[in-house]
Amino acid sequence: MCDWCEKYGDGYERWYFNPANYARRLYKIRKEETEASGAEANPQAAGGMAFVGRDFLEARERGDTAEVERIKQQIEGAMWLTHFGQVITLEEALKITDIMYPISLITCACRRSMEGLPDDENFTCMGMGAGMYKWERWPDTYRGGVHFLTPDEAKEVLTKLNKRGLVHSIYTFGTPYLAGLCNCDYPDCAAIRTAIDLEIKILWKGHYVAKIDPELCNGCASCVHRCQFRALSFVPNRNKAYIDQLQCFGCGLCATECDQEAITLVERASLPALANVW
Amino acid sequence: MTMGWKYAKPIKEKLMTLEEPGKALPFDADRGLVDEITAQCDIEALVESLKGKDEKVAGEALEAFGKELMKLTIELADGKYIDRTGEMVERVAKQTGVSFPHRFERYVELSILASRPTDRWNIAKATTKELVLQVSSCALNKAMAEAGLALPCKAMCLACFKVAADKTGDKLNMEMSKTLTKDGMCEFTFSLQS
Repeated sequence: MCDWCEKYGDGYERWYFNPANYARRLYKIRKEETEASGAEANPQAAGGMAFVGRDFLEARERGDTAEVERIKQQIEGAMWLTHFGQVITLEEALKITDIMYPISLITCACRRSMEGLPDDENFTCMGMGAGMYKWERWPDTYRGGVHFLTPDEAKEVLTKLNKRGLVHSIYTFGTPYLAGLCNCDYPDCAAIRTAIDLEIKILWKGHYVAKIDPELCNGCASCVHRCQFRALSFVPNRNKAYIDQLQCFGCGLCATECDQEAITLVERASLPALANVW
Repeated sequence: MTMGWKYAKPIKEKLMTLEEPGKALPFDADRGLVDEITAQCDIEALVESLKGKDEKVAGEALEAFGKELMKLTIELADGKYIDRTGEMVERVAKQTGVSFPHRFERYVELSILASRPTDRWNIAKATTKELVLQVSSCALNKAMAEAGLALPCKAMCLACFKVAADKTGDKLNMEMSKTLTKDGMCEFTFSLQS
């Protein structure tokens, strides 16, 4: 069980299956004065690498491991309170569409900044919950517009995005309130990039780990390009795919691609060496 | 939404875009709504009027108060004090065909905020099938306790919520699974009838 399931699971199998973590009030009484910018801040401006400053990169550059660790803990501590994510599988994402509402298709801020994608080619992100009724409050984040979906439409979109090779992950906006269902890839996704390149845990590994059955693997290697976490490789002399389970984030993209059904997802908790590797 | 492109592509007619970028919009409940409803649906006056009445008569009075409160809330929230959140809730419901929970939740929240602005309450679940409201501090319950009244005040809440469900057309089962006096909170579960 991950820390978040212990803290916010409230009896549910996973903390992100607890509907309370998606439910919020629609209203508060309007204040007379203009609200301070922190409280109404742009939700996506707080994300990504916003907490990672030059001091961290410079400490890494000069090999100052103590300073790197200190800043890393500072960043993780702040982000775990406000805005962080966890990888989920397609099945889990589909299940989530039934325990919250509304759900909307929005443009991805990470892909916009990394790829400079025009808005109409960038609808890969999803906003969830009551806060989405107030999307106009953050005009820069939602400048591409918002397309509200039915739960069935959301399932259709998620399935398509999974087919295209995008990793599903859920994000808090004031932990434990879950309001983002991202579908992204490396290096576009700021969270994946920060986790993989800088080893800062603002994206937690999922509850599963991929496992290959070498007997069933036919060496087609079609799974390898699906991995966004550098956990999958191809071993030519064995003609088999190989998964580094310590590096695996459990997104399941490799499994959904494998025609031979050689890749399965196993519970992280069932593997003693990986049970606490998040 | 069409799945024709490599990702999903919104349908132009269904894509909501900023109408007036930069214009401040009223998302929260208007203070005027609170002032008007508090004045017309006075909890302290209600409690005062219940003194000396038997349970049946008091229950009817509480029910009538609840109905009146929600009627007034709906009238003001959809008219004089319409807010942007409410407009968006209606637009989204029209586009997706999903009315519950938020059209109903909106009226419920506004009726509580407007009549008992100091109450502590929370939405614990809001799915397209079920809505759970928890009230952990209630001005009516407090005023009745102070007046030494032990009356079934849930009649007020349930009558109030019923008017909201009638307005939105949601066919709901309403249950009160916890009470403030026994459990430290009133918990209302509204589930869509299948």
